[in-house]
Amino acid sequence: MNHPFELLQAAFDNELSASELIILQQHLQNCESCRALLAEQHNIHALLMQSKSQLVPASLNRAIEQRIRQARAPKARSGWRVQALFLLICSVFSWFYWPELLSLAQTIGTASEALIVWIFSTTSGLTSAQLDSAISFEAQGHLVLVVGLCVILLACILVLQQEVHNSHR
Amino acid sequence: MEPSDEILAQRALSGDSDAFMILVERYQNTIFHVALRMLGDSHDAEDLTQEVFLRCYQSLGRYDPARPFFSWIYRIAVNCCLTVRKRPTASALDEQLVAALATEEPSPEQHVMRDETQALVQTLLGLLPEQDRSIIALRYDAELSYDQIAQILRLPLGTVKTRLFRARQRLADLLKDQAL
Repeated sequence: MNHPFELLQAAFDNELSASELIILQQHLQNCESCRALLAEQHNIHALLMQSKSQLVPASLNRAIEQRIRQARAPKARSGWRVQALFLLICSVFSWFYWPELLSLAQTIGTASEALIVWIFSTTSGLTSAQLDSAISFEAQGHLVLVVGLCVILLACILVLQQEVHNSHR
Repeated sequence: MEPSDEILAQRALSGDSDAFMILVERYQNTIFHVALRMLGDSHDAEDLTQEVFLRCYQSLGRYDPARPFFSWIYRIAVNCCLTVRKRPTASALDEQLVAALATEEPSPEQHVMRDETQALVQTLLGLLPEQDRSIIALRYDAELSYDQIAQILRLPLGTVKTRLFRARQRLADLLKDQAL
């Protein structure tokens, strides 16, 4: 006789469908060993449920606290490997594409400068011509480049942070 | 509203050891019971519980708050228990079984008999494979669902159910063998 262990297991966990229940009931009527097996499962289950009676030692919490207070504080993972790899890629990229990078910085810087001038002129009441005259032409060129590089650097940092965050998963 | 485990873990990582002590309060009893079930000795279980929390605290940087804290800490607990490997030898088990069964006079109190049977069950648990003991401990001592156990042990749900069923069956068989 084939014993339906899967059905017995599902019966123990109350996961039988109505049709499976009928099949199992029919089998159990004629199979003493399966009836015994199901009874043993319930018996052992009850024993295991009852046997969790030992009290937790009163000193346990204090002992754990003592060890935690003595231990060095946990540190967040630095993700240094990802950072190092990213910096290496950036360095190689900059080495080979430096003129293009500067040109990109110039473009971004010009756009950023226009935005900054607009914000200053609307908040301070000065015209953009007055603001332009306050800064020398040469300084403006440097400013555009610095702002552009800062924007690129900021974008790199954001990408890096995302990479480090992903590496924690 | 009490802060979640995950928030407490984040706070502990940023230096708030009191937040970690709240986690200890939440989990120390179940971790102790799981360790006791797996190791079979109260002193060993106490030492191991301390070790689990210490390891947890120092590894908080590796904990991913996107995942449930309970599955992380129970996984550490189970791994610690498996590392300790305090599984008694066959001869030591025989002695324990004899001691558990040796009742010169039958006890008049029913609860005493039950305690003896429970002691016997605990001893017989030592004969089960470690994986089965882990599942029993997580189910009966930590009172976790099949889903949670599957998550902690990284096993398919069906495997957890089958192993638990078979583990109970092995225990029943061992109990019958001892009664003969």
